[in-house]
Order: sequence, then structure tokens, then C-alpha cells
Amino acid sequence: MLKRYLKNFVVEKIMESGNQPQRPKAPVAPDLNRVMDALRQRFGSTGDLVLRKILAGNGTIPVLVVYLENMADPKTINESIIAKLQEAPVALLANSKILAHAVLPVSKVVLTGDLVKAVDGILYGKTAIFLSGSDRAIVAETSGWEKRSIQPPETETNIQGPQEGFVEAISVNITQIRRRIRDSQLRFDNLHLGTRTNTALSVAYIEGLADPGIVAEVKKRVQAIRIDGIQSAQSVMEFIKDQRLTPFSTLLKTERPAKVVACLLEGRVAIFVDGTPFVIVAPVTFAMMLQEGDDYYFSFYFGSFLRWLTLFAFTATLVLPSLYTAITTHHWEMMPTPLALSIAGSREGVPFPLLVEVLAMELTFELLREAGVRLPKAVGPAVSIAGALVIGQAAVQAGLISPVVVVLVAFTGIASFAIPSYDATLAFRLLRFPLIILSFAIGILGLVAGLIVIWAHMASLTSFGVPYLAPFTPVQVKDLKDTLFRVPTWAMVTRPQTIPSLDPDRLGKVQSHQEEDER
Amino acid sequence: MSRPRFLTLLLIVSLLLGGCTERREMNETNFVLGALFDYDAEKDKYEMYTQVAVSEAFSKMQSGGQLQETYLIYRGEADTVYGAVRDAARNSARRLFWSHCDVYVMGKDLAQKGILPFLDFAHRDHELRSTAYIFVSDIPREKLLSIKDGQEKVPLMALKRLVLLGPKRHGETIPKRVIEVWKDQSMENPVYLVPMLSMKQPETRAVEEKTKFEMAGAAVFREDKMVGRLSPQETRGYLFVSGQIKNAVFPLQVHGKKIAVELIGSKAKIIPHIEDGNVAFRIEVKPQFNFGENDQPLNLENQAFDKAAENAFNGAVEQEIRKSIEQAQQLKADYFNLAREVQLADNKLWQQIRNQWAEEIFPDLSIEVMVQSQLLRTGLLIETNLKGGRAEGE
Repeated sequence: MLKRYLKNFVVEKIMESGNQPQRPKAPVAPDLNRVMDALRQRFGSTGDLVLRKILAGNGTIPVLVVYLENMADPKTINESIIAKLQEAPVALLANSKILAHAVLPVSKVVLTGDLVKAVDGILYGKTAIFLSGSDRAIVAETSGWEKRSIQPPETETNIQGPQEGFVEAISVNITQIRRRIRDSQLRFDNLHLGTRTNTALSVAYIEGLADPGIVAEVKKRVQAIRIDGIQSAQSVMEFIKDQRLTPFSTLLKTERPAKVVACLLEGRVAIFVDGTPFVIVAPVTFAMMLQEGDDYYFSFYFGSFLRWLTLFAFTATLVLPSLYTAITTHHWEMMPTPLALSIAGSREGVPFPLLVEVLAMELTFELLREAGVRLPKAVGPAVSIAGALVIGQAAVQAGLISPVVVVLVAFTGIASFAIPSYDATLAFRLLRFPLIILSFAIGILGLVAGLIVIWAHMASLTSFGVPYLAPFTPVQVKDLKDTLFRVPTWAMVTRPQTIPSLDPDRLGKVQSHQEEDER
Repeated sequence: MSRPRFLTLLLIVSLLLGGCTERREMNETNFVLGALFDYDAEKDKYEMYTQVAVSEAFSKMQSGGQLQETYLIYRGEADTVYGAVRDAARNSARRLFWSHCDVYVMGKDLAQKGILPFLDFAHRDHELRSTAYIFVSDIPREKLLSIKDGQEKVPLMALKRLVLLGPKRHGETIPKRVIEVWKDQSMENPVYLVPMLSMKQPETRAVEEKTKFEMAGAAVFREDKMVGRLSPQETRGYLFVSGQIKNAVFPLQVHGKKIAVELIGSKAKIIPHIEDGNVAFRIEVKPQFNFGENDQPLNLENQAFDKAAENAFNGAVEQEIRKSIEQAQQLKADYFNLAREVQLADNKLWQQIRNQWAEEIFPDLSIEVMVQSQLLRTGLLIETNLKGGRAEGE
């Protein structure tokens, strides 16, 4: 019922926003005064717009140079545009085309007869040059603003992998991918999103590898977004997810270029959003949440071990508190006698029912964790230490909380930190609470019922048509090589079968060195 | 309200409300860890004593060091076993929880009257574990409940360890679960053994010694009544035949030397011989043993001595088995379950003799016992010398 409603909602929304309305065009007037009026009309009295009128060709032909202060690189404008314009002979100022190609030593130049496009260029830090008497504007690449330098990723740290992370500037991020895939088949399709923010967006994929249907679908869904401003990858994700209301992340955000490269090579599509250091990857499966960068940088034995450890961490995060609740409220028979007595003894004198105790501790832990994130770096450790002391020691000594629950909550918390993908933990951290309540109410029966519902829901999810739980359900035997295990790289013969790809073979026809030696 | 919406609501409500009544807090519960059931012939009433853990004593929280009670005793009395159990609830402010009780001791009086009421209750009630261990005690009940093991916070819990350790240390007791007794008593001509619990009074010399549990010997049950007792040696004889014995120490006299050997395992085979309607049995036991100790200079490379030791060991084991068989035949109690072997070997014959088996055939059954032991290891020494002298056999 809920599902049907959602389906209708999603379908309607997408249908509604299916065809992009054309933006009204404005011709570039040959008269510079009219151009200036038009620009002033658009930008108003904003202080950072520079309208610089130059007399080029020995002071004969007026040229208008327009750019946004601080967005454009003043050095480039001075040396490559204004200086060259002033020196340019009259002959080369006949029309915009000659001017653009013969005079301006700027890397990228676009000629446009549309004022709106020129304005867009200006907003991206480019410089628009209007030649008197010409109905085409020159938009020269001069953008240059302060960017954060490339730094190690904050949320996805790893030990032996590359330490570069994405930054907020899309150009830098794209470069990082280009540098790693030197293939002319690598495509970046640039789009703009947000009627006001006009955020740059880039859909990246490898031609001849990624499934064209998925690429088209990604582009279609991104273009269908109608919003005034995009500020994060998350908002894009929320628009283009298959099931919009699921708490599970059916798209992946990553901060590590290496991961995006790996995904592109598997035939996936990446979406770069300007202004965020996170890149979206689609389609993804739940198994990808098990994959951690370090899996691939360590020995494959240890990599496989890490996979199982992560799987255990997922299970522990979701189930452990509720399992404890279920057993200690309903199934005392299940416990070994000494454990039962020990738990009963530690609960002696605790004033709250077990549910309150567990929920309170879990909430406290979440509080501490969030506080640790928000607080300035200098204060953060103090809070975690104080938290550990206050809750671990004082609460137990005051007899408010039994020590077993403290141990349990701490363990669950650590387990959730061990999961490589931060996004993936969020759903599990949330779903823990209903499971605790269910377990408290009807014990393991409730826990199992809850897990079945969660499992069924996960099985119903898709990510751009790819089943979320693949390769487990439906089973893809070949894909198990890189999910439950991390086989050596020379054994990863095929790309993930769950992701449609035009070229399924990974290893190609290159002979192994052993065969070469035999010759 | 639409139908699916109503159903969903119903499901949620039933999920959330249904279980809350069953919910119990662990710290509002008395964990029963051991129980004694007995029968008072004078009052004609069943009695029940339980040892209940004081759970606070089981967590490491209070390190204050003040010694406190680690267990409480509750007593109930009624015309029935279940009644006696429920009678104790009158005195317990917390619900008595039986699932963790691993030790059920039957008083001797109850054992002689019949333990069926207990067995029935233990299997009928879902809370009692039928995998718990059962014992028969000849200790007076006041005394039994006051024995403190010292190691266990709840003394009766020690019984489980004691009985499980028995076959591995001395072989004079036999672990028995409640469910095994239940199965045994439902057979044809049910005869079975239940471990016997007695106590060891301190020697006057040892000042610090306290009264302790002693797990040796067994009670012989026919149907649900105790009909006799086996001495520790006879119990071990049974364990040899049933192949349950793991380890024991035997003193032997060989060539005038006193030695002790350690049994390290034994296999047994019961072979029925049926000829012309006559049943005879042959019991083959093949124990293996190590040298444990000897009191005089000795070189164990001496094959003759080893042979003699094996023979002496054979004799000792054979004697124990014979004693056990004699006792069984005397009691007319076929606790070796030879009847089953006859049935397996020749069912037609068994159908003819089944009614005479217990009373007439078994007591006069010819049973041949053959022990074939094997000396495996000598321990860390081969030769024992005194003053550099030469040992025997050099």
C-alpha cells in the first residue's frame, strides 16, 4: 500500500520533470551600450561584476571585457586578454572569430551568439569579451579561484592505498580520475543543475565498458531534477535513487578517487557534483559496502579476512543489542548458567527495565558520537574521554546501568566504526532501535521477524535496476570472488556480472609471465 | 479504515502487546541451581529443597570483600512432587526459575518409594531441563544441604562436575541424565543405575577438613524404585563392561613389588552365545594402561615383568567385573542390558524366554569374562635404580 503510493509518487515526479524546458535565448547586441544595459539588468548592482571597456586596435575599436572579480584569474585577464587586445592591430579586430583565434592566448575560447550563455560563462569565472559591431561574444577560460589543496580523505582513511582525496572543486576531481585512467574512452558528460546555483555536474563513464542504458538512465534522472540549488552529493542521490524512501544507501558516495576509478573500470557510472568532495557511484550493491580500499592493498588472504570481519561488524551493529535484549528478557534458558547468573547479578539493583537501559545507553552512545564529530578537534577527545568515564564508570557505580550493557554498547559502537562505508552504517544504526523494541516485546521471535522484514526489504531494493543484494540474492557465483572473498587480482577474470557491462573480461589476452618464460 | 491498513495495525499491536506479559526481568528471579527431592514416610509427603543462587554474588561488581550468602535454600512439602515445588513459592519473593537447574538429587527414601512422580513432572514441565543430572543420595537431607563445597558458590552445582569427572578419574561413578533415566525406565524389564551420592566425614586428624560430597557407587533401580546398591568397585566393573571408563588407578602386586598402574582407556565387547536355546555370554574387555608408580628398583625393559604386570592387571579388572556380575545376578537386575543382546542375536528365542529372563535365566546365566590388557607406556622413567645398583632383570 505504502509501496504503491511511493511508486506513483516517484513515477509522477519523474514524468512531470521529464522534458527540460528550454531557457529563453537572448541575442548578443552589436552595440556595446546595449550589451552593458542587458548585463546590468541581469547582474544588477552586484559589486563583483567588472565591466571593463577597452579601446583596442590603437584606440579605435571599443571592446567590452566582462568578468566576475575573484572568480576569474586577474593575471590571465591582464596578460592574455587586456594586454593583447590593446596591442592587437586593427586588422585582427574585424570580427569576434578572428579576434578569438588570432589574438587571445587563452586555453579555451567559445564563441556564442547567446547572451545567456555568456552570462553563464561569467558565472563560472570565465571572461566574456564583446566586440563592438559583432553579434557574437567570446567566452574565454580564465576561471581561477582559491581551491582546497588535495588532502587525504577524512572519512575513508586507509593504510596502504593512495592518500589523495577528492576536493570541492569539480575540475580537480575530474583531473584526479583522468590521471588514473589514461583512456580516450573515458567520458565526462557535463551538466548543470539548480536553477539558482547552476552547479556543475559531470557524469563519468568509460565508453565501451559501461552499459549505455545505465548511462542514459543516469543522465535522464539527473537532468530530471528540478531544484533551485544543489549543495551536496546527497541531494542528488536522493533524487536519483530507485527507491526514494529506503533508509539503505542504494548509491555510493566516496571520497577516494581510487575507488571511483575501480568502479568506472567495473562498468559503473560516477557522478561528480561541484562543491562537494564526494562522488556518487551507480549502480551499487550491498556487497560493495563490504569492500574496503585496503582489501585490495593487502594480501588477498587478509583481504578476505577483512571482508568477513566487515560482515560480522554489520551483523553486530544491527543485531547484537537486540539479541541481548531478547535473551535477557525472554530466553534465559539459552544462556550458559554462569553467564545468566553474572548478567542477573549485574542487573541487581538497576532501577530501569532492560529496554530503558539498553535504549538509553545506545542513545547516549549516539549522542557522544555526534558530539565528537561536531566539536572542534581540540575538544573532541576530551568529550569522548569524559563520555567514556561518565557513562562507563560513574553510571555503573551509581547502579544506574549494568556493566554488561556498557560492554555491549561499546562493542556495538566499535563494530559500527569498523564498517568501511559510513553511509552504509546509517541504516543499520537506525534500524537497531526498532529491533531492540521488537526483541524486548517478543524475544527472538520478534528479532527474527524484524530481520526478515529488513531482509525482504533489502531484497526488494535495486540500484539502477541492479538488485541490491546481488550477488547473494539472486546468486551470481562468479561475483562471489570479490564479495565474500577477495581473490588475487590475477584471478579476477571477469568484471562483476551483476553490473551490466559491454566488456565482461578483465584480464584480456595478455599472457601471464609464466607462459612467456616457457617460450 | 481500509483492510490492509487494519491488518497492519493489528499485526503491530499484536507484536508489541502480545509479548509484554511474558516479559520478565532477570533480577526479579531466583535461579534454582540444585534441588533435592525426598519423601517423608512419617508424614506421607513429598519434600523438596532447592538451592537458589543469590545472583548478586555472581557478578564481580562488589569487590568490597564482605562475605555474604551466595545461595538460599527454599523448602516445599506437599502430597505431590509438583505441589512441593509450588509450595516453596510461598516463601520466595522472586519467581523460582528452573531451567538452569542441572542437579536433581533423589533422597534415598524417595528412591525406594519410586521416582516416577518426579520423572513425570520433570518431563511434563517445560521449564525443567531433562538434560540435567540425577543422583541418589544416602546423606540425611539436613546434612546434604549444609555441605559446602567451598569452590562452588552454590554447593549442589559441584555434583555435576563431580559426576562428570568420575569416569575420567576413578571410574566409580556413572553420570546419568534425567532423560536417560526416563528412557531406561520405559524399556522392557527396566533396570538401570543412578549414581550414588554419599559424604565423606573429615578425619579427626585433619583439622581444617570439612565434610565433602563423595561420588562413588551406584543405586540399582528396577522400574522406578531403588532395589539395591553397587559398591564403587562393582560400579567400576559395570563401567568396564559398558566401555564408559576412561581413567583409573589400580594398585597391583607383581613379583613381590607393589606397583600402581593407570588405566588409560578400555574397549568392551559383549558376545552372546546361543546354542539349542541356551544362552551364554562372553564379555571381552581390552584395557590399556600405563605404569604409574613402583616401589622398588626396576627396569621396565624387562619383558617378563611387563607381561606379569599385564596379567596382574587382567586379574584385577576381571575380579571387578565378576563382582559386578555376581551382584547383578544376585539382585536379579540385568543392568548390563544383556537382554537386549539376546534379542538382537535371536529374536525368536527371545520371544520365548522374555518372561523368564529376569527371574530365572539371568540369575543363572553363564558369563565368561576375558580381559586382555595392554601395557602402553611407562611414564617418563624406564629404569628405577637405588644407589646406582642394578635393577632386576639385568
